[in-house]
Amino acid sequence: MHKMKVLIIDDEKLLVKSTILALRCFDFEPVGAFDGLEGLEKAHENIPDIILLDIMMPGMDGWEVLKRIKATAKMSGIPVIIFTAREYSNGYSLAIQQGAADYIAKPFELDELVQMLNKHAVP
Amino acid sequence: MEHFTQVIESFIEQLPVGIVTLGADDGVVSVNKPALSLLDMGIEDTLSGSFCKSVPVEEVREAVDRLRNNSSTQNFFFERGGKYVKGCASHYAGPEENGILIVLEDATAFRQMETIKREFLQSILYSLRNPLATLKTSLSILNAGKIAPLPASVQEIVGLSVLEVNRLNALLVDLRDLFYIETGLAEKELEIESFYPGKAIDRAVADLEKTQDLCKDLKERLRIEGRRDFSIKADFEKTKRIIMHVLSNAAVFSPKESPIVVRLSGNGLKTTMEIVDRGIGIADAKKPFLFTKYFREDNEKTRAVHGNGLGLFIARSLAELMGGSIYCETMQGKGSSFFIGLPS
Repeated sequence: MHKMKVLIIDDEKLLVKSTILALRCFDFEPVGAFDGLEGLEKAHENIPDIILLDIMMPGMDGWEVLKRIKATAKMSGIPVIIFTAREYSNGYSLAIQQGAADYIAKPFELDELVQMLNKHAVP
Repeated sequence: MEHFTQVIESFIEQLPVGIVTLGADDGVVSVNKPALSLLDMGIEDTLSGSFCKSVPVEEVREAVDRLRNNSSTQNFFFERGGKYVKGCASHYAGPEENGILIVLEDATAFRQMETIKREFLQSILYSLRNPLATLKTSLSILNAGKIAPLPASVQEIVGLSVLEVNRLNALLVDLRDLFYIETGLAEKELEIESFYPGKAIDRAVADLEKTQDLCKDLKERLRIEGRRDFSIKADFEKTKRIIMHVLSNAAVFSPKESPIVVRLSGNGLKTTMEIVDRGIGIADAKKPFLFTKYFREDNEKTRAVHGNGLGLFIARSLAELMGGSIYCETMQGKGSSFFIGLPS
């Protein structure tokens, strides 16, 4: 059975690790990247079914990563969920405006994240 | 009398705030130096004709206009010459009929402090959310028995840890709401939509059951009565947060298995959710403080329950922000009814 590939791009290493462990329990195939550039490379090499993308990262921030994903033909169809601890008023609207599929604030409920991944991923 | 007037004039001149008084014809009756400085005007600018024509600050002109159109006291602010100025225009009964009093205050330092406070709080919230997210995710996997079934004692420890993480998270959410309310950001992020109250109540109950130990059986205790087809026109998430604060109090401060009733009603303009519990109620002397910040009734029952005293303050602020209201009828020892009214 095809397992859904989830790429998690976030500089919070412990959160990436715990999210990978959690998503494996729900039969996903998660991969982590700890900054924007690494995330773009991994997305390019092995197209995931969906991307979880943090915003506040050193170097390239999440909005720039999202822009580059959407501007690259090979990756533009991958749904991206913005996944952030940063304070945004109207975070959801902002994420959608920038081309993301959804928005989830940290800390999140695990089952809510799983539902969101299942809703948006196109295997 | 002349001496008295001189004393008053000298007193006004030395005040740390700007004062301008206008007559009915909009001419300047008196103005002190701080006011001239804050408005960036010279005394000669105030000598002839209409104040509104000579004052170079649009916000002041608009406030005076609104006040002349029979409005109540007008608060405003503006930036000029690198200063942030807070102002207030009100009617006053001076030597002339229909006089207007304008008070101006240099709030530059105050705003700098507000900015520091905002940045500090945002940084604290941001820094706490990431580790909290890691803890929450890790504990959720263990708690759900996703890796392996846990021995009962370990399961209990994990369960307690989940509740504590959720409590910390609820505190962060309350702090965030408080901060957004007090800085006016809450109003800017409103997303008004139309929905049925039942949907917001269901979501509030689901969230409370997940995050609060004393709300675990809330769904079984809850009875919804009345017509469910009156809609609400408000921000869904904020409406859910209002309901959560009221329902959580109802659940926590009433006997464990006692029912909680939500009565829905409406009149086309306003939809009301009345949340009724058979809890401890509130003493008459404490009622006026119920919706104020950090209010907590001090008795044996409330001491046994964790809380930060922000819930009802946030609930009322959010309701008012969306053009609604919230009030309470309560009797100590008998229970309380909270009425949440929101636009239809």
